[in-house]
Parts: sequence; C-alpha cells; structure tokens
Amino acid sequence: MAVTLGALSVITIAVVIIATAFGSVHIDLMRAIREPFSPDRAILLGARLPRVLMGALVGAVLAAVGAALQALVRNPLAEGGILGISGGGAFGAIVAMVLLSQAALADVLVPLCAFAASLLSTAAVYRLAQLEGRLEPFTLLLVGVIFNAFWGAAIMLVNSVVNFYFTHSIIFWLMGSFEAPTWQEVTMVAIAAVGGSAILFGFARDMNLLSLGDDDATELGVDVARARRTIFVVTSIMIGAAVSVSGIISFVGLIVPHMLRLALGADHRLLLPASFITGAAFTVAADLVARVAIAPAELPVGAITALCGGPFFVYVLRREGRKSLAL
Amino acid sequence: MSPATGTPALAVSEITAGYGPAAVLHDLSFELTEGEMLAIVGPNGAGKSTLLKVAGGSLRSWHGSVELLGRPLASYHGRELARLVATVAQENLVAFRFSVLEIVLMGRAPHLGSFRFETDHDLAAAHAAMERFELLELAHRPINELSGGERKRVFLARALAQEPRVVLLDEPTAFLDLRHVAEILGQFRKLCSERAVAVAATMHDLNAAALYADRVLLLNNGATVACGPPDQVLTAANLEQVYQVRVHIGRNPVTGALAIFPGSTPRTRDR
Repeated sequence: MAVTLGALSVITIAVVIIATAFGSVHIDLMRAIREPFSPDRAILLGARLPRVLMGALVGAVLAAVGAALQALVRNPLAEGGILGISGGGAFGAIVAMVLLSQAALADVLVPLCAFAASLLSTAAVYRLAQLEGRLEPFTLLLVGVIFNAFWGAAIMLVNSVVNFYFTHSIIFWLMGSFEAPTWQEVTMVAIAAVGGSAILFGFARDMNLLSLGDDDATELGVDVARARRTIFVVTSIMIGAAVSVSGIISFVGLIVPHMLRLALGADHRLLLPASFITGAAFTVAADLVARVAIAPAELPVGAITALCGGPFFVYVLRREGRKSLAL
Repeated sequence: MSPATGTPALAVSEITAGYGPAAVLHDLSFELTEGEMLAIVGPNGAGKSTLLKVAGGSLRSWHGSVELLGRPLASYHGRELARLVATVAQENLVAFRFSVLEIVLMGRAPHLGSFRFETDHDLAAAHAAMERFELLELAHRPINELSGGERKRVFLARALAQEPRVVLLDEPTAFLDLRHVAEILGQFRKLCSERAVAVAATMHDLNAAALYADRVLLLNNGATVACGPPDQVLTAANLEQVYQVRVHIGRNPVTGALAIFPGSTPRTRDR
C-alpha cells in the first residue's frame, strides 16, 4: 500500500514539475530558481506555480470527493457534478458576481456565495432524497441529477438576462478554469483539500462497510446515519471550495476513482488517498493541455475533462449495466 | 465445552415491530440459549426477517424488550453489539469489486480501532472462516463474479470471522446445493457445540430444520404458533394450519429423522 501510494506520488510530482516548466510563455526553471529578479522567476511565482498548484489541489479534491460520494451512494457514477453540488456552487457564484459586481468585497463575497450555495444545494438534495427517514442511495443519485440539470438551466437563464460583459465570466464558471489564481485562493483550497481529505480518510473503513448496504454496515458496527451525514457535509465543503475558485470541472471525480478501482481494488483505505494523489496529476495534465494546445489562447480545462469524461461515463454505464444484469 | 449451557443468549419478549404503520410482529416472545440452534420457520411474510433485524440491531422501531446476554439490547452501542451478534441477510449484494478475502475481513471491523488495519490475528480468523466454508481457493476473486451460492458462503464466513456469541442467519441455505446445505448447517451446528454460540436461522426447508435444529419456532402473521423440539412443533396439525396445505409427517426410513411431506392444498383436494 505504501509502495503504491509512493509510486503515484512520484508520478504526480513529475507531472507537476513538467507542467510548471511548460506553458504559453517559455521559462527557464533553473534560471528562475537561481536568479531572484529574473522575469522567469516572476512568471514562475506570479502565474505558473499558483496555477499548477491550484490545478493539483482542485484535482485532488474532485477525485477524493468522487470516491467518497461513490461509496456513499453505492454507485460508481456519483460525483460532485452529477449530484448537483458543483452546479449549485457555480450558480451561487454567478448570482453573486452579477449582483455584487460593484460591491467593495466582491473578491471575497463571490467565493463565499459559491460555497454557501453548494452547501445549500447539498442540503436540499440530501433532504429530498430521504424517504421515511432513510436515505436511499439510488434516489439520492436521481435527485442529484435533477438538481444538476436545474442549476444548469438557472445559470443559462441568468446568462440570457445579464449584460454581455458578464458572459465571459459565466462561461468561466460553467466550463471551469484555473486562470490566474491568487496565492490566497491557493491557500484556501489547500486547507479545504487537506483538512477535508483527512476527515474522509478516517471514514475509509466505514465506506467499505457501506458498500455492503445500510443493514450490513449497521450490523458491523457502523453508525450509518452519522457516517453518511459527515461524509456529505465534508465533501460539499470541499467541492464548494474548489468550485468557488475554479468553476465546474466535471468528470475528474468519476474517471480517476474508477480507473484506480480497476487497478488497485475497492478498499477505500487505499482508494481514497490514491484518488487524492492521482486526481492532482490528472487535472494538472489536463490543464497543461488546456494551456498549450492553442497557445497563446487557451481552452477551458473543464471542457477537456468533460470531453474525456462524457464517453467514459457512457462506457462505465454500459459496463455496470451488463454486470448488474449478470448478478 | 458442553453444548447447551442453558444460559439465555437472547431473550425476546412481547415484541411488536414493523415498517410504517402496519405491524409485522405482534407480541412475539422467544428465547435463544447459548449453544443452541433454533430454526425459525413460517410462510412468506410471517415476520421471520423482521425478527432477525430487531435482534441484530438494524431495525430500531419496535416495542417490547430484547435482552442480549442479560443486558437490554438498546444499552449496547453499535460496535459493541457487532462484536457479539453477527447477522447474514437474505440478499448479499456488494456495490464494488471487493475480493472474497476483503469481504470476510470486514467481519473483523467491529474488533478494530477506527484507524487500524487488520492484524495477523484478524487474518488468521478470516483464514479459518474461509477454510471452514471451502473458500480459500476463491480468496482473491472479486465477489461480484461469484455465483449466488458462493457469495452466500462468503457472507457466512464473514459472520464466522466476526467471532460472535450469537449468529442470526436469514435463509442461509436459500441458494445452496444439497451438499452445501448439509455442509453449512453442519458447520454452524459444530459452532454451537464447540464454542457455545447461539444460532438462529430462518428456513423454508422444514426437513433441514427438523434435522439440524434443537428447537423450532413456527411463526404465522407475526405471532408465535408453536416453539419447541422439532417433533413437537412440526406436526401435521400445526403445519396445515399455518401453510394451508395437507402435510404428512413420517420418518426417514434410514436415519429415523423426522420427515415432512407436503401434499396438495385443501382446495385442490376438495375438487
């Protein structure tokens, strides 16, 4: 287990270094390190590094949260985007941006609203998915899908009534991007990523037992209601933090845990940290493509992950469908 | 160790339970003694599974009293209860591709601290349980790729790895072939006599109940019809009343064991 996680870490660090070295503008990494006043260092510290780190942190969050939510609803198709958590956050951010664009603290208020809205959306999904006091995983997934579509429609509605000036920013939230993050934003996401994941790792064995169903998990000593509540709140805080700085980046939480489950097995004590590490590498790599593919212009990173993710989602759906028929 | 020590492992008295407004169990009482194997029989919907869920702690909405090893069931917290009682449900579906060994090791979860991994002792317990149910060759196979009967044996092994004092089995033999029915009920019988574990199992196979159980609890519409040794409970009169079919009771000509032969329904016979 330590070996696997170590190997994944080495790969991720390599990806981060490569992504830091390449970009729309060429920089010399050695020169940036040696010469404090070189333009190379200014670009490295002012733009490149925060962007790559932000990509790594958001990717880690999305993948770890994806793995946790899949355990929660016992379905490999769950993910922050599909459950409507990201959509709620993006809607909150957009409304705040439009209404508060003149406010003094807009830079702080917009992420806060994204945060609050993703929590509220999660709470609503959670409430509505409960039937007679029991949370049915399948109902939760359906309610989430409906919320996701609803938030998408609400965002398009806002888009059609606001000033053209906002359209670029709205696209930013919808497609996701790591464009020009500040160090404060990086720090905020780092705290959410590390703190949240630490709590999730503590529930890893409960997640294993939840895969057997609520009754079996209860009979093996899991406080199912408490575990479920904690995982749901922690994951939506983590998603809220990620969305508030980078918009909706879909499918990372789907692809990464699924590939790892095939390679490493289903044990969440390994799967969760492995998803955290690999999600970082995957997203940094996707963002590298987004930056260099049509440089000096750039693609939205969320478009790249979604282009990979859409077909992947269908593949998983067909595969799982066949398996459940075989049961 | 003596087979039946006579101490009640589980004492259920005047239980009323159900889902929503309709009660499934009405004022039901029974005792399960240490080292004893009890078969719970009755028609579909008689309340057998509900009874196991009450005793196993996964159904909380009931009235009455349940005592486990002399203490009220509600006074145990989740993990403490899970160290004493192992339950195997009727359906055993798993969401992800866990291996057989991983599923059996999950039976050790109540014995571990929350951040701890399994120790050698846990692995040994899982190994012994898998050996008992002939699962060692399947240890690394994904659970979703096994047949229904194999999967059932994996979950029974998990219950064994849990090292409980009370085992509650819901239709343990439903998907099993003839040899594995004998094998599994035989293994649980051995568990009763070797470690004084108390076993309660719901069953539809009345002949298996007669053969393996010390006592039989016959339920109908959520209430007790009869409870006692097989030959006193599995009588033609009781079974005809409960199942609404003609029943002939005989003896196995070779072993002399009680044998139940179901006949036609009274209505068909009258025609």
